[in-house]
Amino acid sequence: MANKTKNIIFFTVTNVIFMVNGMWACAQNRTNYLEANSYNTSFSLVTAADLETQKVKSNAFQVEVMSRSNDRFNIYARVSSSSSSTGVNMPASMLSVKLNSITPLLNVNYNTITLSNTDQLLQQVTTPFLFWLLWFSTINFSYDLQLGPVGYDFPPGNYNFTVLFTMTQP
Amino acid sequence: MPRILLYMILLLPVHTLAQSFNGNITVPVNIGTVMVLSVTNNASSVITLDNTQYANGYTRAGFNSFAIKSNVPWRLSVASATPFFAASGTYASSNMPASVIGVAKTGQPFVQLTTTPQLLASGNRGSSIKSGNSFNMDFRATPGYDYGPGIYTLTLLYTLTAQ
Repeated sequence: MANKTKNIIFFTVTNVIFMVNGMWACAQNRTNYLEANSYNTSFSLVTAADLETQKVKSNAFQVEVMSRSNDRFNIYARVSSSSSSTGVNMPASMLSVKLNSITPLLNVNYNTITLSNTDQLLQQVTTPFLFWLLWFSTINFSYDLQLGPVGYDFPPGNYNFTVLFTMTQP
Repeated sequence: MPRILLYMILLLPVHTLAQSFNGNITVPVNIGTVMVLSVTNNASSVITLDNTQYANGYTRAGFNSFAIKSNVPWRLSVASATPFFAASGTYASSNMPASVIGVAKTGQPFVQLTTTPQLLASGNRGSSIKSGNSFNMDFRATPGYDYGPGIYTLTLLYTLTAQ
């Protein structure tokens, strides 16, 4: 009987451990997540200059990351969907992103990345030892959004892109 | 003890599984109608006719050049601002009609000017380097001997519209 009780307790404890680890493995949790926020991502092109030059929205969106489970993480971006009111789709490559600033300061990539329908690597980050434990709770990447130049090949109308950001922990 | 070891072995892969997390933004883009017409004069707009030209008419190939940028299919029309030339001079005629002037996209038939817009050219959306969006216009004046000597002035109107 004593043995049976011991076994039941042992079984319960190990299953709790399984559950806790299962929670940690879920997408988005309180210790690991990626959140993307738009601040100024819309474009209106109404003049010849608007169509003929690249348009830039500074600090257009922010990607907020927490990665407590792993000091290393990657961030990817892709255009996951697009639509238009004209029947003519604008290619994903019309969009590009460029890091404007990061808080806190880390060694990161400030290059312009042209988007596509497949994942493009934006950042490959390794945080310093004890970064998450002792100093910071989130990392905020503030990005510029660049469009075009669009030119004259797209009819007047509304075009919409959805950009998906993904954080992976190797 | 072996059971504990088994559970620990089972636990380890859960910790080391690659995980991914994601979020998204939307990017709306609105494009309005944009049409731009550029006209270049390739010859003097002051024309002095000699005897031969009175008899046979005056023709100038490539009198104007046009460059069109448009994100919609377009039409370019031409008309005179007034039905008759403005005339000055003692012997000038006040009734020389605009139709003395004919214009044509190079290679096309001439159209005689009136105050009613007439099609000069049409094309598809694109920049000015797109085939058909840049072209020359020929000019022809045939007053004959029906009008007195003098200085005659006429204003041409070019209008770019969406098809």
